[in-house]
Amino acid sequence: MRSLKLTYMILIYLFLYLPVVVLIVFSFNDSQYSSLWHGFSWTWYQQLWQDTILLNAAKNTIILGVTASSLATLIGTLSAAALFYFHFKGKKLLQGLLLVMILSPDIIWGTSLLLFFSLTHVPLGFTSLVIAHITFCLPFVIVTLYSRLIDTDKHIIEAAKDLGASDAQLFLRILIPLLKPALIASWLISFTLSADDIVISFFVSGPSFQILPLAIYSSIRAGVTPELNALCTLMFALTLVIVLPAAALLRKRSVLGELL
Amino acid sequence: MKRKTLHPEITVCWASQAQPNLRTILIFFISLFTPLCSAKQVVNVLNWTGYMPAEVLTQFEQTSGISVNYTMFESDGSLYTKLTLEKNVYDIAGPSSFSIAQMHKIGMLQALDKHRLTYYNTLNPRLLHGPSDPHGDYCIPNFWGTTGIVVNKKYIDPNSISSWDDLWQKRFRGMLLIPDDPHEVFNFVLISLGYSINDENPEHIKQAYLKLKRLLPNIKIFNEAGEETLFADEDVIAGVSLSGDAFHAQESNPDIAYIYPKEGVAIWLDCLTIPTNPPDLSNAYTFLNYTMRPNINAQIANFAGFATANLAAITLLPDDVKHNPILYPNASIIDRAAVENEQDTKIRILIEHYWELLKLEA
Repeated sequence: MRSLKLTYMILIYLFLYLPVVVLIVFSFNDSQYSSLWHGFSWTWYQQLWQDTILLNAAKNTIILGVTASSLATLIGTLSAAALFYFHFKGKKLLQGLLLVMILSPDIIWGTSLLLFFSLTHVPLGFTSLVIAHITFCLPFVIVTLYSRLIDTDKHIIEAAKDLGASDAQLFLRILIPLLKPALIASWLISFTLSADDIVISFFVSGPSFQILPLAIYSSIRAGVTPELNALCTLMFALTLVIVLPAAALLRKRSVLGELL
Repeated sequence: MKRKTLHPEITVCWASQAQPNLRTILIFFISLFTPLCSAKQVVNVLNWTGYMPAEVLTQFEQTSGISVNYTMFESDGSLYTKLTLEKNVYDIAGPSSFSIAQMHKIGMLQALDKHRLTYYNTLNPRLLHGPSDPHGDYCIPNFWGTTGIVVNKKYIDPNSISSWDDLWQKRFRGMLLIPDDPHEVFNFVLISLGYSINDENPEHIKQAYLKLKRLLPNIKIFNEAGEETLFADEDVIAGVSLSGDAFHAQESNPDIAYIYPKEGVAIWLDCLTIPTNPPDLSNAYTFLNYTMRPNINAQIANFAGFATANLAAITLLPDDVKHNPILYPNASIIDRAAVENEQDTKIRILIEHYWELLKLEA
């Protein structure tokens, strides 16, 4: 039974990580077009280091992702709190509209946002991208946070009010700490959505702000070079560097929490 | 414990204001995000991926003081969409030559002032007056190439193939790589039938389809991208491919041979153009003049691995590149080659219809 469990786990992890491993291995391959092994080489990392177009696009993607997901999480928190806290006419309709936003295809988003921007004379570039990315991240943030909120114990809030908490105190000291895991989750979802998006970004991006997904997508005709493998390897390493200490820290804290 | 509705207050608030103009408010909020515009000189370039090394852009920025926004696209369709959606944004765009006529017809392109192009006379005259731009008014030829037959010398003697018709031989059963692009494929079948690649007679297209159907048993794969990998790794040993891809495959595997069939080949050509009313016309010319300088153009061509239309730049390329017949065939082959033109929409649709039928039978 135990060995069965182990095999199952190994298979799952192989399934998840094998493509990444292949990608990393081939970032060191000493050949531009061959998908056979031609020996170890740093060439692609050296080329990447000089490729200002690609590096700039990667930097822009991170800037855009962080800005859009932070703003989306902020706005989403307020909206979710409002949906949870207040009763008003049309609330059900509003919630339904959120689902419509999640389900409607990207191409509709792209064209309607583009129309909106040309109507309001917003130049296409960083601003339009941030607004667009906030827009499509927002419903996911609100849904994540709202479902967390309705699961919380209402008595906690009533107790806080009983003890004289003001609305601001209630929001900052009760709701926010309760929402913390969901806040982290929705920030990460937003960042992923933002860093992944091609269709909407295609419509609303301008020449002054290049982003990575579009740069990668546009390279399909010229053939994907191992330089992209090198870039993806570095980004994967960066994620590990950020996520592993965070995970370790969280683990330590929960151990501490149990001790206390 | 839930609060009463906030709705009435909100409506009151909106109503008490003297008709707030929604657009003004939106613009105000949006302007908060907009970084302050600087007086920086900019040139906005829209071109294929892999056509421009980053170091050339950096050099240009340093020598001219103009910064470059280099936007990339992956198909003529998406170039067309970008130019339609974002009018007066790009200073330079790089469409394929066959779409020039159509783009010019709808007023998308600005006529070139050849006096402002210092190196115009270095361009290969054979590529200048293609069917979609007979006077060379809009298109500065950039990179070009042909579509021919690729074989691996280890398995197949390149001298045993001289004609497109040889692909139909029994010995190629289940072996050929064919591009997954209906127009590319119909081009060579039309040539093999003795018709023009820009033929608009539906009867001829049908003949090409029927001939193509007989090629099906020989086809191993309809390939969309990355054929250089398949040829270099010997996953396929014969097929039809673009010269640029064949050249790349040959760099990794010297056994790759490229054959120009005697009936002729089709030429593709990518242009540099100036879209109508660019934001800064003089910067556009500065950029074009810089990239057309022979030494700079040679640097770009060396990076891209395609054939450049700039004759002065070719002389500066490494010997093994400039004498490589895959990229730079002799003049007689270019003279017999056909350049693609924009086809009638009906014919394009017909070709795509036949292509689908063919795929169903494959």
